[in-house]
Amino acid sequence: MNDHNPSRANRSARRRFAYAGVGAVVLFVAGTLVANYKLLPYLTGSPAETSQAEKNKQIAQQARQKLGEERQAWQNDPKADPPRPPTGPEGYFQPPQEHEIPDDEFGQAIRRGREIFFNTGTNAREFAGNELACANCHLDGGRKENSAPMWAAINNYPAYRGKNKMINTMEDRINGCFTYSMNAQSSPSGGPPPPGHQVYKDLQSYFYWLGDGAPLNEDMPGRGYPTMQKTDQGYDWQRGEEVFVNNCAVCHGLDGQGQKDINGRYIFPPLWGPHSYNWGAGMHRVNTAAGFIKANMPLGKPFSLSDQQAWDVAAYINSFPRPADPRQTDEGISLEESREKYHQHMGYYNHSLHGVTLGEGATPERWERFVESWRAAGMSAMNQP
Amino acid sequence: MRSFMTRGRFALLTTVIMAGAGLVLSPGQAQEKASGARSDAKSLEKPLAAVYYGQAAAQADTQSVEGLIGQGSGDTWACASCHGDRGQGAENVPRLAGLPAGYITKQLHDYANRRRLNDNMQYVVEGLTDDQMAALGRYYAEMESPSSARPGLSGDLDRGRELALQGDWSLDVPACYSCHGSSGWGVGQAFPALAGQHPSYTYNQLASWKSGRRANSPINLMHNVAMALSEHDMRSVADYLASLPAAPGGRQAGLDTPAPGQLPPVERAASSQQGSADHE
Repeated sequence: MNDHNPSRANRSARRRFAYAGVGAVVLFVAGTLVANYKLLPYLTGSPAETSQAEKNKQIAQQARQKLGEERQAWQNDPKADPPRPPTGPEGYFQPPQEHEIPDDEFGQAIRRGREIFFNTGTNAREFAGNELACANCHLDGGRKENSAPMWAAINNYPAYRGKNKMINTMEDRINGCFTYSMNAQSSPSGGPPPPGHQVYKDLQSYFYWLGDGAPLNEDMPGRGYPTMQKTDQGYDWQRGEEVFVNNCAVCHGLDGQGQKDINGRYIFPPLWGPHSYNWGAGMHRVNTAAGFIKANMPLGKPFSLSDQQAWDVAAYINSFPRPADPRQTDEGISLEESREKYHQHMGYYNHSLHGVTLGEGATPERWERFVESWRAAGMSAMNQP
Repeated sequence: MRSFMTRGRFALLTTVIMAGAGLVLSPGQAQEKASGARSDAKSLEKPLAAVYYGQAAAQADTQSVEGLIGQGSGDTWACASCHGDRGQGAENVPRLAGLPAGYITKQLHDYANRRRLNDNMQYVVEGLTDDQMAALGRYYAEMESPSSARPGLSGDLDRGRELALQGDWSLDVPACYSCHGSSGWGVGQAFPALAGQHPSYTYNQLASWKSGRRANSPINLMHNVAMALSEHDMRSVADYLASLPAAPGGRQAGLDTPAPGQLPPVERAASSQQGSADHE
C-alpha cells in the first residue's frame, strides 16, 4: 500500500466487496441448510438424542424378544435356565405390545376382551349397571403398574379371597367386578354375566395374553394399588373436600358426577351417586381408593398428592350416597347387620353424613332428593361462611 | 484508506447479517421466542376458572361484540382479521370456532392478567370488559366452521394417533382423548377441542408449556404432559390432530353447566391450598 494508487485500491476494494458478497451468499445458503435440515446438533457434536419414548419402546421390545429366546433355549435344553419375566424400563413386568396380538381366533378373543375392558357399557351392556368401564380403575387397559394391572392378576387365580371366604377362579373375580364395581344389579339383565358366559372368556383371553411370561402365584411388583401407610391425622372427608375441589373437580365435576363429551360418552367417570360403583366395591374402602388415587390421580400426575391428601380425598369421595351393597339387599338384612358382616374395614358404611345414612342405595328418587337438599345447603361445606 | 476500511466492514457486516438471516428466516421454523419466559410453571391456577367463565358466557349477549369481531374498535384490530371470518384461524393463529366458551373467556382474562403471554393478544384484550370477554367466548363457541387445518410439520401420524388415542404410559402421558373427548372435540368448559386445530399452533403451545412460557392450564395438567413429550412427539401429535374433522359448534357454550350459586365462590377455591402443584 506504500505505492499508493487510487485506481488499484479502488479495484481491489471492489473485488474484495464482490468476494464478500459471494461469501455472504454461500453462508446464507449454508445457514439455511443447517437450519432446515437440523444439522446444528451434528456440527456441534451433540446429535439429537433418542427420545425417552423410543428408548422405552426399545427396552420393552428387547425384553419381549429375550423372553422368546429363553423359551426356545429351554425347549431345546431342559437343563437351560427357565425364562425369566420380561421387565420394562422401570423394572415392572412388560406385557406384550398391541401389535403382538396373534392374527387368529385367539387374537380375535383377545381383541373382544380388550374392547369390553375399554368400553364396558357398550360391549358388555347387558351386565353394566353404571357408567364406568374396567379401564377407569385399571389404567392403560390393565397394563399400568400400581393400577391393578391384569398381568399381575391373571396368574394369581384361582386364589382364596377373604371377601367371600372361598377359592375364587378368575371368572369368579370378574363376576365380583361386575357385581360391585359395575353395579350389575342395575344392568339391563339385572346381574353379572352368568357362569361360563362369553364375556368372561373374552376378558380372560385378554388378561391371559397380557400376562404372557408373568410368573405363577407371585406377588409381582406393581400388583394392585400401593398400600398406604396410615398417617397421624387419620383420614377426614371434610379435609378431603378442599383437596377434591382443587385437584379433582375440574375433571369429575364439583358434584362428582363426571363429564361427558358431546358424543354423549363419559370421559370422566362419576365417582359417587347412582351411576358409580356400589357399596360392595373395593373402591369404597378408603384405603383402597387412597392407594389408587396416590399412584394414579390426577391423571398424568402420579404420586403428586401427599399421602394425607390422598387419604382425605378418598374419604371425601366415599362419603356420598351410592348404590346399595347387593349382598345387603339380596339377603334382606339391615345396614347394621351388613356392616357387621361385610364392612369391617375403613369407610363410612352405615354412617350418617350429608344428612343421609350411607349404605342405603342411591336409587334415582333418593338421589334426586339428596341432590336437592345438598344444593340447598350450598353443596359444599366450603360454601358456608 | 479510511473509506476502504468502512467498505470492508460493511461487507463483513452484510455477510454476517445475511448468514444470520439464513438461520432465522428459514421456512418451517415456528419456534415461539423464549424471551419473556416466566418461571411460574408452578404458579397456582384457579382450577375451576373455566367453569365459572362458562357460566358467565352462557348469559352473555353476543350481539354486543359483533362490531369487535368484524371491525375492531378504535386502534384495536378486528378478531376476524387474524382468526378469520369463520373463526377458522391459520398457521400459528388458533382456530376458535367450537372451542368451549369458558375456555375462550378464561384465555382472554389470562392475557389481560398476563397469565398467558402474547403481545398481540395482550394489546387487543386491554380495553375489553368482563362482559365482552364472556360474549366473545360464547360467540366463538357457538360458531361452526369446517376445519381448514392440514398436517404440515412432517410429523409421524401413527405416533400422533397413538398419543391421541392411547397416550404413552411409559412417559406417564395419558391419551389426549382421555381428557379432550373421544373425538378430540373437547369436554366441558376446561378442556378445549384439539381436532382440526392448526398444527403450528398446537405445536407451539406444547413447546410453550414445556418451556414454562405458558403455564395456565388447570392444575398444571398440560405442563406435565408437555414436559414428557419429545420434539418429534409434539410435531406428530399436532399433525395428527390437524388431520381430524373439527368439533361442531354451538354445543359447548356453557349452557349445560350448573347455574351459578351451585359452586363455591371462586376466590375461596383459589386461595385454598393447592396440593398437586406443591408436590410435583
